[in-house]
Amino acid sequence: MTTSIVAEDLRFSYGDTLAVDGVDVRVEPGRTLGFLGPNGAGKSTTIKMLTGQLVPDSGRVEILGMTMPAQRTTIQGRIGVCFEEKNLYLAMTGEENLRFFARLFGMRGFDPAPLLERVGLGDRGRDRVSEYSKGMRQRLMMARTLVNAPDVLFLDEPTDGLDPVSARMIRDLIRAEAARGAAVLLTTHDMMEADQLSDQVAFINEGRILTLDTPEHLKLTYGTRAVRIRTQRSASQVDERVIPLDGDGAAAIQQALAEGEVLTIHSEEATLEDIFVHFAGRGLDA
Amino acid sequence: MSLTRAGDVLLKDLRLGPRSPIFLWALALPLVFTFLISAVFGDLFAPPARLAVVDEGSSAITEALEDDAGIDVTVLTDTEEMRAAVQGHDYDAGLLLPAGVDEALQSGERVPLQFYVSGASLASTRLVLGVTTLAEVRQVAGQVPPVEVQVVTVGDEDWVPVEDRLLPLIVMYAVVIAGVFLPASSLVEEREKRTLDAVLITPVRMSEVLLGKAALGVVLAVLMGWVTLAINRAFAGQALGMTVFLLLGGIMMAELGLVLGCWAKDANTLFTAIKGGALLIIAPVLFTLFPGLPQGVARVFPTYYFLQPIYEMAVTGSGFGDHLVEVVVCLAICLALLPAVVAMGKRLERRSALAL
Amino acid sequence: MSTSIVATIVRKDLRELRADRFFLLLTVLSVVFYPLIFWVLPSTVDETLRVGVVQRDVGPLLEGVEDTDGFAVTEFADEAALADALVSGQGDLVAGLVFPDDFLSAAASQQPSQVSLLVTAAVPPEVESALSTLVSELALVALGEPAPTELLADPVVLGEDRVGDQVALREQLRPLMAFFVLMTEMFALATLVAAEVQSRTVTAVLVTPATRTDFLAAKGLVGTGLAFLEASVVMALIGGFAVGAPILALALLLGAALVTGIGMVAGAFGRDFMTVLFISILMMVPLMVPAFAALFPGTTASWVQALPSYGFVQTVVEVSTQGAGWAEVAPDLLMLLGWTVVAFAAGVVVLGRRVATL
Repeated sequence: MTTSIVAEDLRFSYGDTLAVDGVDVRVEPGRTLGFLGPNGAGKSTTIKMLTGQLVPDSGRVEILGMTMPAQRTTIQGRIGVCFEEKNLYLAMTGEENLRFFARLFGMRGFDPAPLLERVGLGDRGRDRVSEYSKGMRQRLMMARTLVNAPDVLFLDEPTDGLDPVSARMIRDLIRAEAARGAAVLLTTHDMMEADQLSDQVAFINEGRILTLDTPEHLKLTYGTRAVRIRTQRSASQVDERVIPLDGDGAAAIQQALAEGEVLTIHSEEATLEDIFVHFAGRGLDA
Repeated sequence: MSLTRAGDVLLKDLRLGPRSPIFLWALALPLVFTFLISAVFGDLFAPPARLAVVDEGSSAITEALEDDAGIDVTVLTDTEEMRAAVQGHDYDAGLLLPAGVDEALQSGERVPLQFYVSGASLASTRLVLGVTTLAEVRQVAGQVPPVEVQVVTVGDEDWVPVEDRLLPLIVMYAVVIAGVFLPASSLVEEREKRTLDAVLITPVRMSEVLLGKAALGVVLAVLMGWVTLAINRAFAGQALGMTVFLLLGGIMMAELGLVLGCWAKDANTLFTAIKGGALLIIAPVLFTLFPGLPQGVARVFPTYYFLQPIYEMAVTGSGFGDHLVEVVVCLAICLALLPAVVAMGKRLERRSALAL
Repeated sequence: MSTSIVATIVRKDLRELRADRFFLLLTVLSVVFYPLIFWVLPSTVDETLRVGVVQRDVGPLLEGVEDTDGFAVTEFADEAALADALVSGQGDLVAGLVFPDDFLSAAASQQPSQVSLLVTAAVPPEVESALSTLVSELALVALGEPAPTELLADPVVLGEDRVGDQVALREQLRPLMAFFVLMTEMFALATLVAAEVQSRTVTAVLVTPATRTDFLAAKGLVGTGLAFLEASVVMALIGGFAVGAPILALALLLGAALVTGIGMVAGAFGRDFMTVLFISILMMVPLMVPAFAALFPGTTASWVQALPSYGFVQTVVEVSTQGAGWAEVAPDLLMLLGWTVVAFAAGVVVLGRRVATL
């Protein structure tokens, strides 16, 4: 099976500023890669090179076995891109927006209704986008991304600023697309989202990938193998203990459970932000 | 390049058109200007002499004055109304013809006629109205002058009335607003709203986007030019020839619109550029309006090569064959603008991609 | 309302406008272009028909006509010289008359004769007709046929007789120029307001101690102040303040406030630059009608008199061309004041509501 996204040693500079400095990426069909990094890290520039908007100063890009930028037109017919900015035609309806982009993909007689239904806009397709709420616009953006049933999805902050219901709907869509076999490259600031959706996570900072691994393995590798337990000893006394899992950890946990009513138990694994700070020396929002 | 995809862009812009103020402007403004300029400005430059007549006895003098092509005659029924209107300068002069004036004149009587003059009327206008009226009075009195006046035209016999000389101005508005404004403002809006990025991420190429937007400008420029010429009854049997020049002018202006639209980073900058460079577009019209200006200078301006042929075919009766040189020049200008369009398109594509 | 906050917002608005290239260009163009047009146009009205004549014998006959206002005769030695003068524009002749040597004697003996009327293609038909008639009249006078009536000798002049003191076109253009300047400033304000509404910076302002009243007062001051200032500069440059300066200044101030109110409405509804432009022009076109109507002779139609800008235009026309004083223009100024209050109030209410619902 052909790897969906292959990027080797990508480099790009804006004038004298090196924005991407030797980035390597591989995403297989049906897999999701989360791209995490602070603003200005090089995420968007990398995506622009992968989608053909920018030509790398050096490096190689292959999408679905085809070379960018030589086969750009063919590639763009098989990818879907969801921009961070909601660049919809506000004066057109939801249906009109989708039909127009479908035509650009060479799809004649496209029926937007099922796709609109899928993103929860079935009854608003004939309204102008200018009348949509923020969440509705983002859902329409997702619908537009899926118009050509793409084999590769590039999603830039797809749930940024959305309410939990809309955000969950978008995540469900992403999972469904991955299950369908599409390769997904997802950029996000949301650690939980990256955790939930990504098969692998790449941390990028100052144009370089700091680490690339599964979320679970990263958390286990850089976290502490311990459990934090809070128990109510008496009406006025709450105990909190961190018990290492190694050694006689099991016995210690049993004892703690017996000493009072258990209020909470949490594992002390690392968060993705902790891991990023470990590598970058700063937080994702810094 | 895919013409189908360019056509999709064109269709989308046409669908958006009625929802866009610039599109509505491009449709409405030439018509508004046609009305304003044709109906109003002609009179501003060469106002006719206006005479009000109160005829108490259906005199032949009134009929003779009404038949005179050189003055505007209005027959009123009330003397006080006429005096008030003359005083308010609604008319340059007023004439009161009492009942039985014809019979009195024919019997050789000397008839006192009241002639009112507006204080604001020009001395020359008063003279013209007075002399003209006196001539008709003499006619009714049977006084035939023993003289024949032979009119001899000297100098340039091709003088064109001012209202006809305004035709290039009206056509220019129709072609320029549709040809330049529509593609330019459309590109700027797509850039500002970042919808251009969304389009360019599909198989559509920048060249196809530009072609689609240019096609919109050209189609509407030709259409509005046609409508303008039709309303002004200016085809003079040269509809096909004029359409060729409207097409060439539309292409030229659309290319200019694309260059400006690719260059301007926002609507504000676009309008500043158009306002600042308007003279280059409008200049040939000034030379038509004011024939006293050195006409050769007009040839420096590109718009001359489609406006002037249309004007000459409409007004002076020249044929399409008389303007083959202008056809060639128009084609050359359109071809010369192409590299600029391509270069600016590439520049826009790159700048859009670089924008964070 | 806090004056310091209002002043702060005003300063910010002026800075923003200064950074707006389109606004700056229009301002500079207005200050240069309109006065240039004004001073290029002729300052007097030529109300004389200048005619060249060949044949000295008709001199005595023409003397009577020459005494008439609006007619002047220049003698030429021969037809060729007269034709050359007509074609070259020498002496601003409109036409030429070539009488045969025996014109007077032929006319007196009722012998038909032929007179050539030389004209260029630009001569209006009524002038051609009038000069033909004049020749006929001269022939009849030579024949000894008195005119059956005396029209020109004793006309009744109604209204102030302005022969020799006509209002030049450029004087009539003053209200239109002033209005165009006001329109430019109105558009600048509308764009500024629209930008603040669309970008929601007004919301950011209103969560500080600044109130909606402060915001609206600042917009009103900026709009009115700039419009008044620029219109005054242009009016001064076109000699508009030579007569009735205080009255004109008041009219300009009220006109500035009028367009400011309209600008606030346009800015409240404008989504972006294009829609602001479109809405502004839509609202200004009917307001320009009185200024255009002032260019044409006669009584203004009643529907034009009902337009908000009529009071402004009429005041400027009456003061600058007729030297009207406070008493004469009071009704027009009152009308202008009324409309200004309505427009300004409408602007404040519409924009205030728009801001409140953001």
